[in-house]
Amino acid sequence: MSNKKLTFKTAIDMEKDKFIELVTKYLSNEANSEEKEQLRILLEDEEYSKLFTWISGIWHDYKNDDEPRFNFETGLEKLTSKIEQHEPGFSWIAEEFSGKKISTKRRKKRFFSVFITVAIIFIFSFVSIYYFALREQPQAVNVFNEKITQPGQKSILTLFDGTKITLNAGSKLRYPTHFGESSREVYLEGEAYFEVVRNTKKPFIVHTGKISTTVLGTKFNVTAYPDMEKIKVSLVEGKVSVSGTNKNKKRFKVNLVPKQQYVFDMKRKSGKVKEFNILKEIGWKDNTFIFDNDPLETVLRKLGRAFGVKLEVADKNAKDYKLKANFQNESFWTIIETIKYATELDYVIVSKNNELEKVIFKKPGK
Amino acid sequence: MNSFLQKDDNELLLLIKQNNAKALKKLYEKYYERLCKFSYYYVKSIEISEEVVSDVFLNIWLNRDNVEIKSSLKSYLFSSVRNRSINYLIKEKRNLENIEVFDLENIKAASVTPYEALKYKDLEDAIKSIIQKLPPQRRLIFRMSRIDGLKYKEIAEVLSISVNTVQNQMVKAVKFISSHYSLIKSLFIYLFFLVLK
Repeated sequence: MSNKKLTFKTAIDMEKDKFIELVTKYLSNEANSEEKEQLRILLEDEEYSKLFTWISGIWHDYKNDDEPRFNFETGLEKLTSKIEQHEPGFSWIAEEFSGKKISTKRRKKRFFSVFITVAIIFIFSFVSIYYFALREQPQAVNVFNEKITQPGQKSILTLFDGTKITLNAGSKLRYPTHFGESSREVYLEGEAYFEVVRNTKKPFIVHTGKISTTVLGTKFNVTAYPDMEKIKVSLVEGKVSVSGTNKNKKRFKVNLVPKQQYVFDMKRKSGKVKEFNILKEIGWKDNTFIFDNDPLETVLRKLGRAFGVKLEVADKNAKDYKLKANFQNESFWTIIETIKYATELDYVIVSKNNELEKVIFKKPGK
Repeated sequence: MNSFLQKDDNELLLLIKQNNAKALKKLYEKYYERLCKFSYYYVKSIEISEEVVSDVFLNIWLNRDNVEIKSSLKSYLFSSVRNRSINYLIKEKRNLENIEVFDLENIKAASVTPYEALKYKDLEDAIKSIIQKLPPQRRLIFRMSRIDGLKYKEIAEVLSISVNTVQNQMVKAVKFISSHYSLIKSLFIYLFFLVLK
C-alpha cells in the first residue's frame, strides 16, 4: 500500500491561501500598496470580511499575560552598579559625562562639535517632517462614503481596519475611505452595532449629532434615530466613553463598563447611566424583539422599521397600551397576530399596487 | 505620542557615543521590559533576564567608542539579548528544549478538538490556548512580530534565518488561527445561548 496522498488544491483553496497571506502581511505592516489593494478587493466578499474581522480580533487581542512584569527601577540599579565598577563617579544626570579626563580646550571643541551635530539633526528632522507633512496633504482631503439602509433592510459593513458594523433598518452611516493619523471617526444616524478592532493609538469615535462615543476596541450598540427623543449607547464588551453638551451648555464625559447603557434625552438635554438587557437592545441583529411593558406606539414603530411596513394605531388611547412580548425570529404576520391577540385590537391591511403598504390597528366594532 | 522632539534610536545611539549618559538611560528605559520578557522566554528566570539585559547595556556603554551597528538598533539589542540568553543556557546545560529546534517539517501543530474547546471559559482563553498550540519557533516568531513589534527583516536578523522563513512561519501561524474560526465561533454562540437560558 503506497503512502502517497493525492492533494488537489482547488481554485478556492488557492484564493484562501492568498487571502491569508495578504492578511498576515497587512497585520504585520509588511504589505505594500499593491498587496493592500488586493486585500481590499477580497474583503468585498462577506465571508472573507468576517474571517478578516476574526483574525484581526485575535491578532489585536493577543497579550502575553503569563509573562512576569519587570521593574525598570530594579534594572536601573543593576546597570548603575555595574557601570560604577568600571567608571567610578559615574552619574546619569551630567549631560556631558565622560569617564575620561578632558582638558578645557578639548572640552570646548567637543561641545561645539556636539552642538553642530545636534543642530544638524534638528534641522534635518524638521525638514523631513515638513516634507512629509506636505506630501501627506492630498490625503488630508478626505473622501467620505455613505451606507444607507431602507426600512426593512439590515446591512453589515467591514471597515479597512477590520471593524465590523451591523447597520439596522432606516439608518445612515458616513465613514471615510482613509482613517486619520490619530483617530477613526464615523457619523451615524439611526442604529448600529459596532465590533471595533482594538487600536490604542487610534481611538474609534462614533458621532451622533452632538453626542460622541469614543472607544479603543470593543462591542457596543448605538441608537440615534432622528424621530426618537433618546440617544442610547449600550456597551457589551470593552470600554467606551460618551461625550457631549448638556443643558447647561457644559461638556460632559461618561465612561461605561460592560452591561451599562447611557441614555441621553434630546429634549431635556440630560442623560443617565443604566443597566440594560442585551437581548432587548441588540436582539434586532438576529431579528429578536423583546418588549417589556413598552407602549404600543413604540412597539409598532420599532417593528415597522425592521420590516419596512408602516404600522399604525388608529385610536388615541390605544397608543398607550402596554405590551410584554418576546419575538425571536418570528415572521411578520405571526407578530401581527400576536399583537392583535394581546391587545384585543383588530387590524386593517392597506395595500397599494398589490404591495403591502400599511397595517392599522383599531378597536373592534368601529 | 509622536512629538517632534522625541529622539529615535539612531539619535540616541549617536548621543551615547558622545558620552551622553542620559541618552543611555532613555534607551534602556525604552527597551528594558521588552528585552527582559524576550530573555525570559529563553532563560525562564526573572533574575537572569535582568542580568542579561543590564549586561547588554553595560557593554554598549563601556564600548561606546567602538560600537558599530550594521542593522537596526532594535535587531542589535534583541540579537544580543538572545545570544547572551542562549549562552547562559548552554553554560548551565539547563532545559535544552528552550532553544528552538530548526527542524520545522517534523513539528506538527496540535489541533483543538471539540472536547478540548469546551474547557475554555471564554473566547480570550480560547485565543491564548490556540497560540500556545503553535510549535515553538512559530510561536516565537508570532510573538516577536505581534508583541515585540519587530519587522520581518529584524526577526530574521535576530534568529539568523531568512526573511522568507519568517514570512512563511507567520502565514502558517495565521492559517492555524483561522482554521479554528468556525469551530470557536459556533462554540461561542452555543455558550452564549446557554448562558441566556
